[in-house]
Amino acid sequence: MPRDHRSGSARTPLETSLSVERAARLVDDLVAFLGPAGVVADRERLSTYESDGLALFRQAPWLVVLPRDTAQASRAMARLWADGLAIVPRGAGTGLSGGATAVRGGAVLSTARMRDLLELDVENRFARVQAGLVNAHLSKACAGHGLFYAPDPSSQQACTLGGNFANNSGGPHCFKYGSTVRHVLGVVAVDARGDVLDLSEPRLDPLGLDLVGVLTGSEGTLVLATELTLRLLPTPERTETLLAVFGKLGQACDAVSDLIARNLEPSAIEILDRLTIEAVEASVYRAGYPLDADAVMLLDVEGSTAEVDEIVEELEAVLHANGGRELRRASTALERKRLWAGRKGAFGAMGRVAPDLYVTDAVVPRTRLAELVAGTAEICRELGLKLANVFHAGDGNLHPNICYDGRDANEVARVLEAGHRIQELCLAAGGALSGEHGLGLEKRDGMCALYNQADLDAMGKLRDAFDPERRMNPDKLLPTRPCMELRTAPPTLPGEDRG
Amino acid sequence: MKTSIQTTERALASVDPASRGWFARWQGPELPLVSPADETEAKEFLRAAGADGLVVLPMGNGSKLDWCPVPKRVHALLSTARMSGPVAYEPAEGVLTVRAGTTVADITALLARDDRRIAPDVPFPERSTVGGAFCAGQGGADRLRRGTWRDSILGARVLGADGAVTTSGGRLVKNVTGYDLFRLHGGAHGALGCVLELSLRLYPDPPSAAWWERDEEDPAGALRSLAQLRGAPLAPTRLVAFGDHDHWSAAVHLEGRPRAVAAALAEVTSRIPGGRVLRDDAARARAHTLRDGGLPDDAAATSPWPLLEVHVRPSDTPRAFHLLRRTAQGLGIGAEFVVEPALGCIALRTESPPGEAALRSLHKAVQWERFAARWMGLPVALRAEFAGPPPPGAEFMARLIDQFDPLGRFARGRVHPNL
Repeated sequence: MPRDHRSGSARTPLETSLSVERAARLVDDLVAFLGPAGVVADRERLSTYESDGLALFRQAPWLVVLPRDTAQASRAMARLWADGLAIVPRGAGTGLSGGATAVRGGAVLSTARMRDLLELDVENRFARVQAGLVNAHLSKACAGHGLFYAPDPSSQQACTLGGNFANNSGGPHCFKYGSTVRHVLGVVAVDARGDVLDLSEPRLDPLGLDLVGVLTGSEGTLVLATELTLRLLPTPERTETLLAVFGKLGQACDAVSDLIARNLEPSAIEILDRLTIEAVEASVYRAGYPLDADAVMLLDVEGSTAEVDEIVEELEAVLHANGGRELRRASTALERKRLWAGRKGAFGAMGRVAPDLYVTDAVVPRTRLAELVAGTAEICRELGLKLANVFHAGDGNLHPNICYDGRDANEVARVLEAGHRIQELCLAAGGALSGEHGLGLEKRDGMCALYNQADLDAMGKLRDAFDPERRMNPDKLLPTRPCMELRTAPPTLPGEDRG
Repeated sequence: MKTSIQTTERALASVDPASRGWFARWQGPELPLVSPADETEAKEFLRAAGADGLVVLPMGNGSKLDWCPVPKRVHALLSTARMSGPVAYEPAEGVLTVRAGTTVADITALLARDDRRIAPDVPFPERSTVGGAFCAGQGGADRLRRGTWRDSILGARVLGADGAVTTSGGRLVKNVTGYDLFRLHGGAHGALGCVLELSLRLYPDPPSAAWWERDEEDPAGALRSLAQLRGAPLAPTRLVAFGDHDHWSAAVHLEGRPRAVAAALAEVTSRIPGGRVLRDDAARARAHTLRDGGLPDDAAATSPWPLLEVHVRPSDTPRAFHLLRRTAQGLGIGAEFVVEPALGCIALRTESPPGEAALRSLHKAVQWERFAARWMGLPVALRAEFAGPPPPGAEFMARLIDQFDPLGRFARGRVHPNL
């Protein structure tokens, strides 16, 4: 039976392969150095950790540990290793690919109590943070010094910087500034055995192999990042936010391809389609997007005043030439904030359309945006599904969002089929599986469609170098069966073969 | 001679003639140099070399062989120089895929017609292959504006020790599909495989450029001038102080759209009086001269005078620079300096071949201060000694090298003598 410090009541723990005595000893050992608040082992509280933002996959862990710092994380990992447990790292659980879905009988290592800003070096423009610090909190902390942190995922009010590191997260402004990997100067990480890798000194150039680069985006399958050293950028002298209104979604897509071909460099180019506009305008995120538009394009142009003026002039001409029927400039900071709140709140606003939302993520060649966006719409139309598009158009990063009711098994099956067909469509056009959400459980097996077995074997070598027993976030990112077998096996949903 | 060499050897003439002088700076043993024409030949050579028990060192044109210790075990050089040219180029997509043996100059020429360019802007682009520059982790003169290779490389194809050619990353500007294995090859000096092909993000080639330069009384004055630009809305390509014993200058390289460059230049001149200005092609030419250390190609190729790069936190740049300068002066080492305070980078190039004792003393000072340092062009006897302590994470790096090349088919010891 669980002890008081674990549950506070007679709640039954979930099963584990450990004997009762060994399981109790493990929990006691962890509580001894993490304290009662650092260990969760009762069924009721564990249910909080049974999924991330992709609720299609659910599995509660046997145990959750919440260290306060690197030393505690190292000790906890070593202790879990000793008992052979699988470990799933978890930040805020906002991921959308099942990357933080727990393993049955395994442990989740949450960074929720590692939220400190360790160092803010204004002069050298970097910050050292604990991995559990929320993305938006970093930019807030450095705003008064004329600095900001560039990667800005839509979930930035909740997602953690450690989660961003694990997924190499992006966001609207990564069009100009690049994804997380371009902003990580250093990392402190712990491997499955509890060994600490300290690469915290901020470096533009790696000394030796670029471990920081390869660990970024490794989805918690190699190490647990506990601290990050992140590059901060000076706040631009001027930011101009533009809203372009289009009568056709395809026109907006063509305008993006044209902007890129002409070397124009706004810092963000986002497109929202009609259904998204309607959802946003009916929600608390109402931004003043025109309801009669088939699509709106939201752009930020940042830089010196002269630079911004020059780019905006050229942008306006290209947008008009591509059918942009109206172009609004945000005249105040409040208006700019409102326009962006609509974009950032779009996923939340979809709750008005249907109870559930399947957010897909794919990257496609930017010269083929219009054709592929139309293709995704056609797939959903054929399957009788509601599709709302809101995406990072400048990077070719599509987010076809399928609105559905998870209580309807037939609709769920059609949603998954749509996801699969959209993936096939994008890959056939030269695209990739994910632009910023990662593969997790959801797209793991899709790797066979993009890479051959030799490619995947090489990736397996990387994994084996860090975690030969595959205890770190097992079953994620790489297929668990050979591609040949997956190609000939009857179709299954991602994660269906899990224990 | 081993069968593998006999069947695949190509003459040294197959390497870019411009690099032959540099190749001599390797100072390692005379080795057969194999320069396959394509991927199939490269695979065949590596297979045959493996069967013969030969250890292979991948290279491009060989211009950076003197950056690292000579490996203890190496039997043949595998050059990618003949595997050159674009594989896929879609200007409107902003991505170029190119064979690793393509010189940076050839890439620049290809992209110029579409007003695009790659980064980093590495020295001596006529001789540097893109694969060689990437694998050596070479920095560029535009690092302040466009970053390092990590910011530009999107994917790669690599010939591994097991003879398999594998792909990671892709040809898209944004992509988080699978592990970014290609990142490990940047700075690996071929320890993990031979890079055959790279996909690169393209940048707009700015239509306008300006170079502002002012003579300064001393290096402190040059650094003070640049400090006055802190917080200015400039987004410069380069902020640099450079000089030797007698002559010092501060310079700013600006690129962008014409009005933006003009406004930035006005900002510079309003904050720092005086100085001369070069525009567009003249500005670019001056920037390239400084990028190449002020040396014409043939002089650089034949001057075995060491170059030391030190990286510190930007705020520590003045202290680190003055310490290096005082130390060099005290040791009687004549040196030219290039200092980039916004990046924390200091480059010291000796003006004549210094004695080993003086170099050792300079190295000790660098070690004492725990500066992150990289020596290039050292006499071969000093290269391993000057490698310094193993880099942070060396144990993990060793695991990676063992994992990717368990039989030691690729030459080791160039990332660090212990690796």
